[in-house]
Parts: sequence; C-alpha cells; structure tokens
Amino acid sequence: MRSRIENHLSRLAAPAEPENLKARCLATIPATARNSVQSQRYARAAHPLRQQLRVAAALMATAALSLAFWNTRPHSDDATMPPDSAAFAQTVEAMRRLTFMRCRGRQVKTGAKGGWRTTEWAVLDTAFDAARGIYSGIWPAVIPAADQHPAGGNSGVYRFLQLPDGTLYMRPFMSADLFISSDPQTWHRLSKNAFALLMGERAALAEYIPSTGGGAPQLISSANGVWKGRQARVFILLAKPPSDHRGAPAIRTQAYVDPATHLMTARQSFAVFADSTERLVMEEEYDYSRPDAALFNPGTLRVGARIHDQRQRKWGPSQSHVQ
Amino acid sequence: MTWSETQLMRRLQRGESVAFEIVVERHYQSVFRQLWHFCHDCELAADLTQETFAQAWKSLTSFAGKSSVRTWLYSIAVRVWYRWLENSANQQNCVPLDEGIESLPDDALNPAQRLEAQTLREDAQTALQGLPAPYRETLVLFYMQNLKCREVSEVLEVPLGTVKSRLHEGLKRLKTALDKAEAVEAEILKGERQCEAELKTI
Repeated sequence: MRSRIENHLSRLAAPAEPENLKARCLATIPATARNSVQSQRYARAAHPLRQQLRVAAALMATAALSLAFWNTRPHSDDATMPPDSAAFAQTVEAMRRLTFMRCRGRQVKTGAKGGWRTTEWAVLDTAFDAARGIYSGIWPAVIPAADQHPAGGNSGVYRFLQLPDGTLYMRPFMSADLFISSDPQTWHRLSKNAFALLMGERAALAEYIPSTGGGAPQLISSANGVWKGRQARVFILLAKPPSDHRGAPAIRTQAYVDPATHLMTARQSFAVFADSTERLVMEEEYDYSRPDAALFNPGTLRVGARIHDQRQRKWGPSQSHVQ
Repeated sequence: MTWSETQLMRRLQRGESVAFEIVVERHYQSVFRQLWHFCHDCELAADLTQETFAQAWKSLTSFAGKSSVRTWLYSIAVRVWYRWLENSANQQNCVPLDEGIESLPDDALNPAQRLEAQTLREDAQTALQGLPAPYRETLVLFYMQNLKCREVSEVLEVPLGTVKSRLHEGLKRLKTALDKAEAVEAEILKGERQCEAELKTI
C-alpha cells in the first residue's frame, strides 16, 4: 500500500501545455520529409477500389474538419492538422530561431488609462541581437513642444534596453529619469524566442486595457497576398479581449510571410469593435540584417539622465515614476 | 489512424514522417509534463519538449525498437534536460516560476481535509523541486509518468538497483522536508495563537 506522500506525488499535476506546442513539435519534421511521404502515398494508391476508399476517407475527413472549425474555436487541436496551422508553425519556428532582427513601424498611441487615442500615432522601433540585447523605442510621430509635454499617467512613450546580463534600462520619452533594474529571467525567455517579442497581440490588448492578461491570438485562416509588391502568405489571427472588458475591441492581425524563407515581412493589427467597425492600430516591417551595435549602448540612454538604480527590484519602475 | 505500437515502431525505424506525426500527437503532452516537473517553468518546458522531438526525429533511423516509443522519448527528454542544465547558469536553481497549479480535487474529503491535502501537495511540489536532480527525476518518472522501475532504469540509463535506492532515498528526503515544513507551520500557528491571546488581554 502506498504512503500518503506517494499518493500525493502521483496526483501532482502540471499546467496545461501552451496551445501551439503540438504545432511546434510537428514543425520539427522537415518539409521535404512530409512532401516525400505525400508523393509516396499517392503513388501507392493505384488499386481502383483502394483509391475510391481513400477519396471517400479524405472527403469525410474534410467534412469533419470543416465542422470542427465552425463549431469550435478556430485553432483546432484535432489529430489532422489543417495546412495553414502547419505553415504558420513553420513561421513561428523560423522566427523563434532568429538571433538578430529589427522591426520598425507605428501604432496608435494609448491614453493614460488605456484605450486608443483617435488621431495620434507613435513610431515603433525594436531591435534584437542575442549577443547584444533587446532595444525598443516608442515615441510620438509628432514631437510635442516642450510646453506641451504630456503630464500625468502613462503616455506610453519610452526607450527600453535590456542587456544579456539581465540589466534593464527604461527612459520615458520626455523625461530626464532613467530607471535601471535587473531581470535576467525575462532576458532568458525573450532571447530564446524572438517571435515572442513580435507577436504581441496580448501586448496590444494590454496597451488598450492596462494590466490585463488579454486573450491568446488564434489562427483563423490564411491566403495568398502581396505586401508592397512582394508575394506573401497572409495569416489572419484574432485575439479577443477578456470577458470582463466587453467594450474593448478584438485585435485582428494580418501577418505577411515570405513563402521562401517563412519569415514575416510585415504585420498589421486592426482593432475590431463591437459594431464591426475596424481601424488600423499597428503596422510594422521586418529587417533581417544585423542591427547596428550602437542601438544596444546604454550610454546613449544615460546622456543627461537622472539615474534611478533599482537593481534590487525584480522589474522596472512603478507607474508613479513615469511622467 | 490507429496503428499498434509494433506497427508504429516498424514505421519509425523506416523513418516515416507519418508515423512520427502520430508519435508527436500521442506523446507531446506527457513529454511536456515530465519536463515541467523537472524545471517548473512552462516556457522552458515547451522549448525542451520541442527540442526533444527535434532530437527524436534526427535519431529516428537509429531507433532500435528495443524499448517502447514512450521510454525512447522520455530518455531523449532526459538528455535534452541534462544538456540544458550543463549549458545553463541556473543549474540547480529551478525556482518555481509557475504558481497556482491546482491538482485533482479530493472528492472523498471534507473541506478541512481538502485544505490539508492541498497544503501537503503544495509542500510536496516545493520539496520535490528542492531535491537533487537525480532523485527528482527518478520520482517524477516513477510516480508522475507512471513508469515501472525497469523503464525508469532504461530512461535514465542507470542500473535497476540505483533506481530503487533513489526512490527510497528520494522519498525519505521528501518526508524529512515535509516533516520540517509541518513543524515550522505548527510553530507559526502556535505563535499566532499566542499573539491573539495577548491581544485579547490588552
């Protein structure tokens, strides 16, 4: 008979795995291996009766899959994985393995208490280099005059730099304050997965609704498309707001992927409101050449700064310090 | 597609990707659970799970079929875990980053007993993470992955006697840690009751 401890050990549970884990594991199979097996399957189906049975089975599987898409959430975890999930998984894997990249674009500015401002845009610039760090800047597209400096709350414009030793620098855009803290665990996670930096639907929702977990983005569909004259496979994802923020919009993202490299060329995010109106809230393009080392130099953030060294804290400054 | 274990193993040995897809679908969750119990970090466990299947694909043609597919995968997962430990600065500092994981409810217990059971599970989880890696891995494979001793010895590539002694010693160390935790908690409760009594006299 087992002891009390043994019984409790056997009942210790683990959390649910990430939703895209199966797709990631399946993506470890090289595409060439999948293709060669597909052609072997068709070559073997020579016998007429066997061929009819295969066609019937394929039709039934397609019908079942269509029902699954209509009746359940779009991202199916059925045994038969639809092709766009596999293709997107390849992109996720290709992006995850990047050791450097840069993306630049713009997004609608958020208000002090969340929500999208109607007319103001902010410029985005993010650079990642596994050997040098992560740099991220967001600043107003139209720089306000000194006497129109936004005051109160979080204007959401800043420069941020994290180094591989975990040191974190954050300088609000129109402030002389520089906050220095340390968060090696965040560096460990982000440096292993550049994709996590980019596909920030959850972050986009968190901008709209401060301090929310938000909904995880679900792959809805894919299609062939064009981005600035370049052929692309376009993946559509949808992130819904949490149920306790019913007035908040869903975020629909179009990810434009180069079919040759499986890397994202560009991304656009649209806020989809309850009345079905949409507006563009974010767009950015990706550059896979190695970013300039000067971007990761903390000296540029230190210039003229009032230093607040908070390396005893786990993460960043409190909101009350941000002007 | 329902292949038997034997059919699956034969097709894996031929390097068929269809068979490998079935292996992924059948086992990715249990591999994740094993790695999560080792490292207690959801994202790291997901990364290591993916790496496990990547390594499994690479070593497909050398799969001899002497063990089951499950133990084959678990042994690859253990090697992937050891490699991460060697390369990582965090070595034995697997701080529990995922909190609030609820285990199965104890339906047969009353509320006080359920609370005690939950406390014991949380303490057991913490104590398990505090064990040296060889004991933790052995206990996870035996109790949580439900492997037999012989299978644990195949996965960890140690003799059967070593598995049994690690189980015995691991449980003993867990019990010591839990007894200490209970003693500390009893002292805290005693201190709280004393404070309450003193406050009432003021």
